[in-house]
Amino acid sequence: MISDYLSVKNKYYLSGFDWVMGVIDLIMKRTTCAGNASQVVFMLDAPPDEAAFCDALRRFLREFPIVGGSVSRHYTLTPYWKMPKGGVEPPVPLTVTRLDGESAGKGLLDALTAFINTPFSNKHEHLAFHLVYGKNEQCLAVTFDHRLFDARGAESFVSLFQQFLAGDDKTRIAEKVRLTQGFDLSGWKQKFLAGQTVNRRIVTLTKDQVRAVPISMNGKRPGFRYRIVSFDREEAEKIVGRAYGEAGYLMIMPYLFSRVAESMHRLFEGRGVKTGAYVVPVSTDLRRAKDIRDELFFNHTSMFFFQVKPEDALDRKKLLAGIKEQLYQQIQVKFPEKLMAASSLMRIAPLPLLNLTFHLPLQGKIASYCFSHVSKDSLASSEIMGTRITNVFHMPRTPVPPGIGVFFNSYRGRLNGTISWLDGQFTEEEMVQVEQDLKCSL
Amino acid sequence: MAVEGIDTKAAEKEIENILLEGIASIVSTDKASLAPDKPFHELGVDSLGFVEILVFIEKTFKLQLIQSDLTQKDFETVRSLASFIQKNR
Repeated sequence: MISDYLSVKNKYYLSGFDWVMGVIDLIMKRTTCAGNASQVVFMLDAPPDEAAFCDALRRFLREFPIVGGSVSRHYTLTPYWKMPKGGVEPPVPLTVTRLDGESAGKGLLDALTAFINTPFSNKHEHLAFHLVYGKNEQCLAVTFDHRLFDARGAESFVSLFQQFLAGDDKTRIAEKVRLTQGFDLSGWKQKFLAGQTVNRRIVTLTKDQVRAVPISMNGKRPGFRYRIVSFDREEAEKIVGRAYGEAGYLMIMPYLFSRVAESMHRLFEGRGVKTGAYVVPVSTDLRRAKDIRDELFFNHTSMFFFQVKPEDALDRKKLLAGIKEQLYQQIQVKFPEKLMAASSLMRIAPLPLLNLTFHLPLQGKIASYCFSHVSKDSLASSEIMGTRITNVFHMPRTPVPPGIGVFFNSYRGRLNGTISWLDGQFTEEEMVQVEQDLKCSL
Repeated sequence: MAVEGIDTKAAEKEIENILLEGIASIVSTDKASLAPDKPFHELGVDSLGFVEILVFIEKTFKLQLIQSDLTQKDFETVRSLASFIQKNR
């Protein structure tokens, strides 16, 4: 009987983490101007041919009706992604923006900020492409709903598009993409035991109050703002060298995290927020498949949770030792995998109920800020339609709460940091200071 | 003396093989594609993968290395790591 269900085409049963993304989406739609989305930006060294690009993209997307799906519930209460009927072109907006004037750099960031703060227009829209032509720079921005992709999935989708542009057969590319997923309604004991490990960690982290800047929206639903800190290859190499020297060989993530922790501590202290310890969720990729097409759509990520004691935040040696120790302990007990397993128990709860859980027992204080570091890109090549990709960075809408995060990614030796914050929660001046802190301390 | 040298080399080779199997599983690749004399960062290992390798070493060889003063030289390649483990276990 179960195998019959598994063989049902066009149903992708969502994982617990997909459901968590759904909860965050609901919270963000209620508190900000759009849902739980992110954007990956490909900077290009020359403008791509607009008409050819649009035509190729439309032809490519026709192979992926999944991008026009929506969330539904099976009678077993397992949530699934309902595929639209075949032959229907998925609703994927494609915009073209031309910037002019001297302030193209600022204009570009403003345009990108506007894209990521524009809500998808209906429940079937989860993806949007934007071509931006500036005086001296141009880019392709891909805005995506986190219920459809995680960051690596979105990059990998563009990677498939690159393969298609390079002449690979689109049907052959698409047919290998996994579009079905089982219920995952077994192994209950393991899931509950995993939940026990997760609970223990959360209890330890919340013994001290969570230090957080309160979110006050005054009845408005604000958007997100961004600052991008970019390091070229030479600068990035120096940062890696310092990370190896100070944190240990390959310890780039703990090194970057320690610098962000230092800067955030100064920010919070400056705000007079001086109670409790910092709790920082750090996302991590759990993919194991050799072929990305097995894990392209939906979420294959989980979280680490770190605690940063305020008294250690400015002591680099102690701070790094603490981060490394916590990272080690969490990997040792397989915390991210257990969080993923335990989260599948939450799928039975409706999203509004889970939204209440975040706001009532936890009083909206789940975390102080977010951090992540994606160490490598997932692209097939460094070209799109004959134009070279000079850089790639991400612009996530940070979950609310906490509404602020710093996200690093590497692209072919370059290092980028994106500071993302809820408009009104912090001032531009405060974020300029965070940017300066990071530039100086890295 | 010479026999001891041969034993050490054989033990290092065995450790190298165990490490390669563990690393292949951590970075989701075939063991055959991993060169034991290549630096870890060229094998596609990042911070998290590296800590996973440290956890694997602790479970397999009962050596805790996360807070030790490891130099890049000790950890540069699977081969140098195997030699380090052989000397310290």
